[in-house]
Amino acid sequence: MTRPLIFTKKVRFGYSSLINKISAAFNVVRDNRIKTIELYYDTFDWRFYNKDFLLIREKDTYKLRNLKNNRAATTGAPQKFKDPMFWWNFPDPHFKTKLKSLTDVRAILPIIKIDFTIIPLRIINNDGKTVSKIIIKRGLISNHQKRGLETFLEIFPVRGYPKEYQKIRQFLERQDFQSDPKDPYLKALDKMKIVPGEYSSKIKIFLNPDMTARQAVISICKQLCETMKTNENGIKEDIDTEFLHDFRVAIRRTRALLAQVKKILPVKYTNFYKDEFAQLQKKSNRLRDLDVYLLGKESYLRNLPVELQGGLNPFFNAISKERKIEYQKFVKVLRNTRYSKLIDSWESLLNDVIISKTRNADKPILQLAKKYIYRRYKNIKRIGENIDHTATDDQFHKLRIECKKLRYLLEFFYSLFPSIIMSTLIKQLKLLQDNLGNYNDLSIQQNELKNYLQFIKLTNIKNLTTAAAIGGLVTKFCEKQQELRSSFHQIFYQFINKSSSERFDKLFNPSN
Amino acid sequence: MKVLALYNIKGGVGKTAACVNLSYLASQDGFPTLLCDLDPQGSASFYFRIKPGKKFSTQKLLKGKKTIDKNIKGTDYELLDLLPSDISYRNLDIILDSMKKSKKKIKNVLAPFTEEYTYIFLDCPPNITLVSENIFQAAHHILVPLIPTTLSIITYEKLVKFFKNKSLNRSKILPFFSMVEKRKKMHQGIMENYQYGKHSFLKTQIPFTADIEKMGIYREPVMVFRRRSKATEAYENLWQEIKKITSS
Repeated sequence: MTRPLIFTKKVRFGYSSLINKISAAFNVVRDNRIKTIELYYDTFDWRFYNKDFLLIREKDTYKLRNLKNNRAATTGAPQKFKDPMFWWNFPDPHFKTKLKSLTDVRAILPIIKIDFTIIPLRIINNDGKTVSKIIIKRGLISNHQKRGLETFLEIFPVRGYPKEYQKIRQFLERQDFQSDPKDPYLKALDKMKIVPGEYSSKIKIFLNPDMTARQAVISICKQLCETMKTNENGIKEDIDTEFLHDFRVAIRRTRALLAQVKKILPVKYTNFYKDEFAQLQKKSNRLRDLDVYLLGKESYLRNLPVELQGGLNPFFNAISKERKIEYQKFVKVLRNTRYSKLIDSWESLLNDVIISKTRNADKPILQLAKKYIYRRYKNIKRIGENIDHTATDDQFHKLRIECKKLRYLLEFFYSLFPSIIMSTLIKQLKLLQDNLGNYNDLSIQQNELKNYLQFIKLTNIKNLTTAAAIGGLVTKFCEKQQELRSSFHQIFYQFINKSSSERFDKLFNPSN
Repeated sequence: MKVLALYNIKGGVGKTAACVNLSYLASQDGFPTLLCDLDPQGSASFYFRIKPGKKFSTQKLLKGKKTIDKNIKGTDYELLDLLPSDISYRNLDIILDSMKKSKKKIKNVLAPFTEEYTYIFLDCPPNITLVSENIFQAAHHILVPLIPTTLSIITYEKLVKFFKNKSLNRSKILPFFSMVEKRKKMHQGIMENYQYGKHSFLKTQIPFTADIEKMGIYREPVMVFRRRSKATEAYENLWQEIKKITSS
């Protein structure tokens, strides 16, 4: 279907007088007024918007519109589901697949509602033939916090009547209307002062190379603190698993920053907050682990032959039960005054101009950033080069931690260096991290499964299937670990190869 | 894409009314549809309130997609477009005669529209010329409305014979009874003889109603100004029958 031309006016206008003006200039037929309600959805981190899609609901139909080519797919409403919606609640398989690729584990949430009053006008010629259409749309925009009003015109040409279409356009332009290429939904968000894509779990810090170390560190910490606060509500309401995940990542990043950047903030503060945040992190560890097991259920099942899959049910039931308890425990933690005091005092500290100077506080951040990154890189090289076929798990563990530290540093100080190089480095580092991280995850999961075995009575027949299922998984995971180990060296040497080392040296060696 | 022609050598049998109403129903069913008004009288165009062209010459019709494109007009109905009639169509047969592959011209000219339209309806002039032969080649099905009288049947049988002589595919012909007055004994008699015979007439019969005549006053498909009527019901049934046949 052709995209209509959208006309808006800078000032508010009354549509009755507009209709009168159009009727005076053209032969107009006014069709029945239509009232309709549209609801727009997205994930908390704007996954639809970021990929140029819109998910709209009108009555019982959901439409996924591609903003780039204006094509849309539609489906009926999900049947029974517990709020909120996810991709798996939708009935149509194609729609489901598309939504899954866009949203993954994130909940699909209503962003705004628009109550439309639509007045269709038809411009007719002397034969009574419709030669052009003008649709006046008045939308009352709302979400749970505020309201807004938006009025615009959609002008539709009729094929074969280009002159008449031009006449309408010119008439409207003389009435001070302008055509607006921006999608009405995006304009509605503007009216509501909602910035789409504003929240992202990715770190987006812009540091000035002229900033002092302290200014830079405070800037980063403030953003991380904001991320923590933004995700609190989603955790408390248990909307989806990623709120807790993003919350924890923000804490982890804060602690990593405080640990690596020495003598920028007074030691007593960094120690105190590192410790407090560590405790906060610890209180949510088990909850996150359990979330990950539940999210991985399908994958576990796929690793087993059909006859054994049922054997995992007792295991997952136990996980679900424990998850409920951990969730409630952590919500209590967030509602506790200790937590609110922690965040408040941390924010006050970050906004305080009076804190005492430290050795590195006024040094330019660029120098320090280079030093930190270079040092980490050297560590990684050293530890990794010492890894051979006799390497212990401990060595791999150390390497994994160093990689993590480097990753954080590259992310924090990304804006201080050429972005193309930085994104390449991060990509390469990620490959290495994935290898080490996956190995580690598999160890943890094997332990969890083996622990579970301790608690079941092997005399019960049902439990035999469970034991067999768990045995099957543990074996599978072991195999995967072997595969990861055998590919480790290639991946590691790709990371520290000559050209890569030279690049690192060029960019980060402090003596350059 | 299916090309459906509405044809009868006799005029006044309900050909254009059927063409307009069926193409409307096709578009309402969600199928992008084009109605080509090949009758220089331009009745179909009149029903859609679109003036026949005075400048679009036959040469251009036969030249191809770009020029046809410029002349296609959107009707007042979603998914239904019209290629209006043109005065120059009076000489269409003469022009075709002077061309190579003169019998396949219209078929070739419609081919580029396969992607754009699911159905193309041709409202044919009431005669038998090179234009009609072109239409017989171009169409996947030829819908022939017949008033149930002896003379109509004779005309129909002549058409079948024509197809046989020119080695055209006779199974393309889909006759149906039009302007039926059930009270008339002759109508009943003819229909009984032919409805179930070897001639495979379509089951639906279009009644003679004042509503269909009023299309000329309202200048709309009958189901637009008279949503519930015998005429509307009949055309809807006819469309369903045709849809079934054309989709297999």
